[in-house]
Amino acid sequence: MSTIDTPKERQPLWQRMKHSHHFRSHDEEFDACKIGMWLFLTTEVLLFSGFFCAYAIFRAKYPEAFQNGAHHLDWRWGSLNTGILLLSSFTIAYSIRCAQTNNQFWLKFNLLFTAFCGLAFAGIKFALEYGPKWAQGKRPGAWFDYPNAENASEPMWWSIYYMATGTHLAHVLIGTAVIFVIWYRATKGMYGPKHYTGVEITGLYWHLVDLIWIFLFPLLYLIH
Amino acid sequence: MAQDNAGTFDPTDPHGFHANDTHGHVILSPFTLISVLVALMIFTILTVFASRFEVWAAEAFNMEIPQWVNVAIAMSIAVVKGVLVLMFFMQLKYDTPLNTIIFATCLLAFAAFLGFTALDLFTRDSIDREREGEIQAGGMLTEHTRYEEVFNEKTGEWERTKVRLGGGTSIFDRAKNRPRSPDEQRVSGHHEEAAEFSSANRTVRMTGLHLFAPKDEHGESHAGESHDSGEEGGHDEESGDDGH
Repeated sequence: MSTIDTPKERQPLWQRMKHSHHFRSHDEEFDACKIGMWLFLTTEVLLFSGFFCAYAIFRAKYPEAFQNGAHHLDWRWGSLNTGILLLSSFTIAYSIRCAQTNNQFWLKFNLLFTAFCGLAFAGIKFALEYGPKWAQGKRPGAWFDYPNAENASEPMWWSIYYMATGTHLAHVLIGTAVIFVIWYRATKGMYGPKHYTGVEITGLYWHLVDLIWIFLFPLLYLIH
Repeated sequence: MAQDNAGTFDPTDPHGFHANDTHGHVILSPFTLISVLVALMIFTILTVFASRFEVWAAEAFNMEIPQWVNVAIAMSIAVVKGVLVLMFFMQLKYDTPLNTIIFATCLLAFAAFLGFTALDLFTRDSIDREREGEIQAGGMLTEHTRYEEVFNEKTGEWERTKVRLGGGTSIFDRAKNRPRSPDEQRVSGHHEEAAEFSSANRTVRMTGLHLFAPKDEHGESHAGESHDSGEEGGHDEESGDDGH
């Protein structure tokens, strides 16, 4: 290896990264981190399964309210947000490839692009969906104040809508913040072919956020 | 890396379990990644198109597609998209099987959770007759009665008495009847909503402001007197119905 001849302090940071002392190798640390992340993702799926379960049961019991509710959501904003999340999922998957092939510029670019996709998703959600709906009185549960509702159970539809998409939005914002941190570390040269665990597990988290939205989008916006 | 030690004795890995560990380090080609993205986008367009088609068919030809078709199409496409993300973006296809097993176990738990919770959805009337069919508007509790044991002091005995529960004003009723300033009425978007309300399963003519117009203390509706008076006269009879 040519890097052996280079003085340590002149090597890029990712070559100098050491695995934790209780692991045998980088590989073992990488695998352990990944399994840990997958275990965490299962807890996330179980968190959202509560919403999916509530949705299924209340939909079966109050079909009218859910039909009316779905018509208040604009499928165009939902589709746009789906596209944004899918694109961001692609860019973060690509950033892992860039880290593996030591393509530092595109690694940073893809990470930053993904983070801005997250911000765009949140912006559309707040400015074009939550904001106007809240102003019109389409609010969850006890805050419901919409005079044109046709079904007495519509406040509950809005509870499900705000809780499910709100929890998902919280995940988007947390993911965006983490990706900004990963991007900052990437600018310091921390990620490369030998060391990219951070990019990999952040990517897994972001894909899960995308995965949840893939199911929330048709359930809330498209089925009527 | 572990590969460098292949063939030589590694005291930290005496049995050579990790000598050829390369799983989890697959570098996906740009072609694979872009293909998956394109497939995901196409499936998104497809599912949106299917949903729009249903609305269009209902409006143009008065053709009602059953709801389960809509649900089946949307959920099948979502499952395909989910599997694509899991297999390629999350690299389960190339990863150690353990991660797939972890995730599959979680989905199994989800299925059990959903299945057992929904088990009594369509058999609730087998125990309580009043739970038959759909839940009533406003909730079952508004008209619910139950029996309580009450001590009768005259006879000195416990008696079964009917107790009515609930029956108060619901959130829905309060939102409907709350007086609103003209400014608030404008924000509620009565006329913007009108177009959104026809669907595959039913067509609803929105009467908006006129149906739920604020009333004064004499119980008279002020529909038609507000800023948007002088629209179609057809609304007047409905506001008349509502006022009394």
